[in-house]
Amino acid sequence: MRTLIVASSLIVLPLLAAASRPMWSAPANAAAVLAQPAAAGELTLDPVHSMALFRIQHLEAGQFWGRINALSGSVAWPMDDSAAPMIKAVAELKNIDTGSEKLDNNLKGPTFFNEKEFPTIAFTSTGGTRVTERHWTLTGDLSLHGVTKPVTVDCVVTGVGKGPTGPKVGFECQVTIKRSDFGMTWGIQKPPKALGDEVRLVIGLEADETKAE
Amino acid sequence: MLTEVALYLLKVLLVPALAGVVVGGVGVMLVARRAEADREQSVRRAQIGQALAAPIAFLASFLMETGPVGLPPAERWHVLPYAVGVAAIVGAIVSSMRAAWWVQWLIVTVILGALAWKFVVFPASNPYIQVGLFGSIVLMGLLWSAVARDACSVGVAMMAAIVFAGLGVLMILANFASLGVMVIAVAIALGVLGMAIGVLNLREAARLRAAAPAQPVAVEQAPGGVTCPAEAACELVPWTAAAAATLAAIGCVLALCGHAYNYGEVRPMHWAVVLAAPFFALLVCKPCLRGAKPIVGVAWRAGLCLVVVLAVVINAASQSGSDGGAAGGAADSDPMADMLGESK
Repeated sequence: MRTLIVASSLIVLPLLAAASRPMWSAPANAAAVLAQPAAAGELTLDPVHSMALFRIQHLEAGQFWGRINALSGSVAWPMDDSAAPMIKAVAELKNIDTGSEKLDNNLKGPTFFNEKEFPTIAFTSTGGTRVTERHWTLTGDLSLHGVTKPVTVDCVVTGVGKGPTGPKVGFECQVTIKRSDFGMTWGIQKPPKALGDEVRLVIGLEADETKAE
Repeated sequence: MLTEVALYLLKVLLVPALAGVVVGGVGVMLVARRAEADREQSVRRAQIGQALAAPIAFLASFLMETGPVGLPPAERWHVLPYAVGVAAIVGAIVSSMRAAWWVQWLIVTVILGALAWKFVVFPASNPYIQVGLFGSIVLMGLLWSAVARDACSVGVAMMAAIVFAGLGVLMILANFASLGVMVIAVAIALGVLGMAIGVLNLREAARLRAAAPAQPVAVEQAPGGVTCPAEAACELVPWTAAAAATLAAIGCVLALCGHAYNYGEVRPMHWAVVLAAPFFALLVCKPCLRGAKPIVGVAWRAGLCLVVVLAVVINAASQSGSDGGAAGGAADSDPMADMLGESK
């Protein structure tokens, strides 16, 4: 009887394993936004001059700042400010920069951003309301750490200038989120109060017309 | 703040380790209290407890550190509690069987290897890595089972503790501190369990000597280095091959997880050598493979295992240190320690 159980276990369990579907599906990759060319009238983000700064409280003391360089995406905004800017911005977490290579690696790891599974942070605006001239409150979806949630972003048009390929528009957007809403909980309770829950994001964007290839 | 950090470490390290020790150690204590004639059933139960000790410590630490996870898990590494839980169940069931050591090894490693192959998929995996995971579970399971067959229970627990401690340090070097803490909790559980078993074995040896002072008995050197009337009598609860293979399978899965999320300078060879460190215990005890008496005691074997693991950890740490130094000066203080307020 025992031999029978052993033999059947050896045969049945691997077969069950092989027959079942994989548990995992490919992670949602917000970088797919990057692959889409900017539509007519849209401006393309200039990655050299677009970045996101994040701020978090450390040990209940100082506010620690880090940045994510080289944002990409697009902005659709009528220059006469007649409508809210529609922003698609993607930050690749491989570009995280705190000034410490060790801390960068720590932040990319599974304790924090888990960059191997969730390589990007993406914001896509869905609408906006005017605050004053060239100052908008945008609503949109923020995808971070595999979680997408609606957020409200304060966005100011910082200027309209001229670049080599045409008009260049600058934006500065700010939003404060709770990282625990996105499943990033290390340091809030475990270990206690090592890092704050609230993260302030300041996003500097510069967009211009993409050169025809 | 220091009190809170100490309480946190107590929660994620010592409480889970204690849970593992209790599960693994109570059975051995009960065996020690029973008369020799009534021991068979309790030994079997104690062996199940030994098989469950490390998984219980890991699961408790995971729950304390990360909290409960859903199914399917939101992050791939959150499959670990499920994988370890299944390993614990399989290891415990097979430990309770009256089967030859190679049968136990085969059942445990084939089942756990197949399940890991299919369900334990970390980032950047591919079919070759998954087949490699299956193969490594079978091979490491064979190695650890052979060690468990040969070495005394104290030696197995100590070597396993050293290996898991090494894996934990490698995970911290790979910038995966949260998993590192959980694995170190497992190492503490195994280490304390080994010491507790050692004390009970020594008491058993003393009891046997006191019980039969008049009769001349064959005094032999036990695997644990304990001189006792009969080698087998000193060993209250030997590890089963199934329990050792389960530990090896868990070690393989944890090592692959650490490698998959590696943001440090830990190389695949580091994980592999640490996992295979008990092999060196067999090297110094070749006759044991043929069923002969052990020629070296637990201190030598665990010591050799420790030397190997220490060498690997120092090598990995020196590589991380040299790269960090090249990257830039004072800004590269240990960020995790910094967050915990230990370095400043």
